Amino acid sequence: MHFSARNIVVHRGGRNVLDDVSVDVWAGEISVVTGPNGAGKSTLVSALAGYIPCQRGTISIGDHEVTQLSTQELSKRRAVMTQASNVVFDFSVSEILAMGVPSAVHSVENLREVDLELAAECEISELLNRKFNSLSGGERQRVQFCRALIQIARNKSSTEPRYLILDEPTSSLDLYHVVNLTKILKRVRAGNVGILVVLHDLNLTAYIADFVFLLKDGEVAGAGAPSDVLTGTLLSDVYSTPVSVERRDDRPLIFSY
Amino acid sequence: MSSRFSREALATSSLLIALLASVTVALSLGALDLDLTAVLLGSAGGIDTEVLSNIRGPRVALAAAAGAGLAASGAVLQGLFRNPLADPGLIGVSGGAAVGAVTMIVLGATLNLPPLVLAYSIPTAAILASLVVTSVLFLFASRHGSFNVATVLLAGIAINAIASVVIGIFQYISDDGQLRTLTFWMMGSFGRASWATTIPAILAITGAVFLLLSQSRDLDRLQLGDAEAFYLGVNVQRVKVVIVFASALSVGVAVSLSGIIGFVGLVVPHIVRFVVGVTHTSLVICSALLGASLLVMADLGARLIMIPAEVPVGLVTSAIGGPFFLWLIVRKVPNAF
Amino acid sequence: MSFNCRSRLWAFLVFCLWMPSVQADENCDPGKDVTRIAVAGGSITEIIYALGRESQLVAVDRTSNFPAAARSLPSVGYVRNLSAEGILSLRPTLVLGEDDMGPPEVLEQLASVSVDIRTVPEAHTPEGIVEKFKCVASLLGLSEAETSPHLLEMSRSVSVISSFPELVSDQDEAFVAIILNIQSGSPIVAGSGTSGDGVISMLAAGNAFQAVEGWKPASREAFLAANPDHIVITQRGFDMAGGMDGLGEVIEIASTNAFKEGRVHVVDGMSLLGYGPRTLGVVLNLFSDVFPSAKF
Repeated sequence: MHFSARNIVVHRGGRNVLDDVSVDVWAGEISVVTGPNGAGKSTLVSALAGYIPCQRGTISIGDHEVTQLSTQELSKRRAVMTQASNVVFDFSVSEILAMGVPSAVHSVENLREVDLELAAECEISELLNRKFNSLSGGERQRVQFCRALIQIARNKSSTEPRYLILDEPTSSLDLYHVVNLTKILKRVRAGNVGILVVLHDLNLTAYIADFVFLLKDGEVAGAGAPSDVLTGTLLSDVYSTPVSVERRDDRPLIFSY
Repeated sequence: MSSRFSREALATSSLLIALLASVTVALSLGALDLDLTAVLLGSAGGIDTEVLSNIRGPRVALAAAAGAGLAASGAVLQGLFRNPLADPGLIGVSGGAAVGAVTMIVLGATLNLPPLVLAYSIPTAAILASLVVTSVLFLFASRHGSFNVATVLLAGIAINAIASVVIGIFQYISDDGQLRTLTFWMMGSFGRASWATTIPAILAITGAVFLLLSQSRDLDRLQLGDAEAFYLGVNVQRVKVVIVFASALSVGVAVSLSGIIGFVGLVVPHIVRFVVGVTHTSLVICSALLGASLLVMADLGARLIMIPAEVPVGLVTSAIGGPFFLWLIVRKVPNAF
Repeated sequence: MSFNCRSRLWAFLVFCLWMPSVQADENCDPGKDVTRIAVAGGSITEIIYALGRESQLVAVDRTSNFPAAARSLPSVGYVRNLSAEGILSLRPTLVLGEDDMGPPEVLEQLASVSVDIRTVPEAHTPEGIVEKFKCVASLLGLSEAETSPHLLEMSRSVSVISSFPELVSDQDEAFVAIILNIQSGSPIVAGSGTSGDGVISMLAAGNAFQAVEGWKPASREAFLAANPDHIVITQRGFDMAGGMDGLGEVIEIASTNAFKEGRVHVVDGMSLLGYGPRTLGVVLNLFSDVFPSAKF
């Protein structure tokens, strides 16, 4: 039982944005999707999460295909953090977090101890009463990340694993918070959660990934353990620029300039 | 957090009291001098009781219902379009309703319908027209399988343009007298209210507001984005459909019975956001209550300014709403919305 | 806009728009209680003053501007946009108006409070003016004996007016245009079926805008094509347009024979078109202006 995309094709604007792509996310593992701009990473996130249809192939979560699950059932099984971070109206951080709580009743009161602990872990406790729009880009990212965590935590099941999909969750974070995020991901992974992260940072990929999917032009150029995929030859080819890879502390160290 | 909850509860109860107070004041005052307590106790003579029950009563009730419907619709439409300037007029619903009503006014004169039949057929035509507009909007916007908000806005502009043309044609082919009737109708007034039309209106608008309330929580989530709301389990398509239909219903009913009344749907939600907060559950409830009170008082003003004649209430709301909105913008620009 | 090629359906539609629709009781039986009368219609107010019964008036509408004393009475708004409570606050025992009283819902509200609402019929003929006068008198409870002195003068005028067609020879045939006012640069002219059209018929003249139905704005071309021999304009319209100089700036008016030869007649609007006590006199004066050679 896991979360997977099997031979999916997504056709848009006259071309195949994703062509015969297969990706697996296992509980207890962190899978990283990386690749150059325009490789189709965000499209893969949307397809996996069930938001856009695939012209071919199947996406399954546990025993079910995502097309057979209702929106609500899907939301119980997986949480997504996108790159969007803007709200038009003046919601407070608590109100944003409370949106992750699956409830039809009123908002902020639904936040309980377990949610507040997650907020502390994400280091946003002091931001709870601030207006979301007044935060910096990095602070907003941490809030959105926490919201996704809350959604996962509140939908915990003893039998089925849950899945967390993150689209570039570190793009605005400083070093300290990137490290903190990786700690949280490792902690979350241990709780029967499968994680898929889209990243640009190849060294961060090397650090946290249990499995790497390297995309190029809508196809999977490489899939496997970090040291197998993150090689000089493959990376130079995929990124069309010379890339050197050394080993340090038993993991790849990638640099290009 | 508990302090926040009590702030919303405080706001809601204050607004409820304000509404009751406005209604009481509006029922007591008017061109005709009557003693409210005397009438309620049954000790008033002459036509006072009839004026209260047949003329002032339905008009105050309609003003409250229309205010609630317009304000609640404005609040959810601003959320739906993620735009603080959204307004029921914007998506073409009031324009469409006006076309329906105007068509029936002119047609009714042609067919020489008896006044009571005409009085019922005008709101019916307006609601049908607003539902037609809404369906057209929906068909337009969901052509590619998803409810595209930008398309709805553009379609709304087109519909308003068409509505202007149709109303313009009617204004042109009608003679001087019909023209004046149309002009007065369009300026907005609760003077035509009777229980026969007001009670169905109250039921329809109450139903619509409850429908809007049911979508409030999902509407909050929708503020993060269409995809983000989907990921949180929101049936985005259904939420949008319900909101547009419920808004069309309440606005259509209000416009058909009282003409075009502006600014309520635009300004009231902003006041509520400023005082109470932005989550849509309390926003919808408080907007409905505040809209009802404001429109009841605006109608009272319309009745008292030029006693014994009346000023169209649409002029009162524009006269107050316009400058107030400017003040709101000036005040709020330094902060984020 | 071409006035000629309208489909029959449009013509029917527009013609019906003009037709009076019955809103309230249209009979002239005496009112139950005529001590406090609210009037929506300037000509009716004039008739009540002519009958000497103005003390029974408690409220009038905005079109009731003659005599001047009427303007100081409480106002119930514009005749087509009356205020129910406004009228009721003056505790009238009788509400009188013509067929343009409105809106219909307000009339329903008044009826639901058992107010006596009566519509005075109006026909655009000299006899119609007399009938209207008689109707109002009857509604107010005057007997025939009390009414007839007022009718004497009117009947004389009616018979003079009925002789006009004979007085006007074929060579003298004149086409008259009646302008209500000028809106957005276009003169609003009296088409067929209007009160203005009725006046022109009484003058035994032709309506330059016979082909139009109702009061309509005339386009520049249409006005030039019509080229009326005489232009009659209401005082209000004349003042609003800026007097004779102002009219001279309106090309289509300035180009007409009527304007060039000074055949522009300014008349008070209500007296001309209200079909009240003054209308017959105004028609007689206007006839002398339009047909100076015809003596009566």
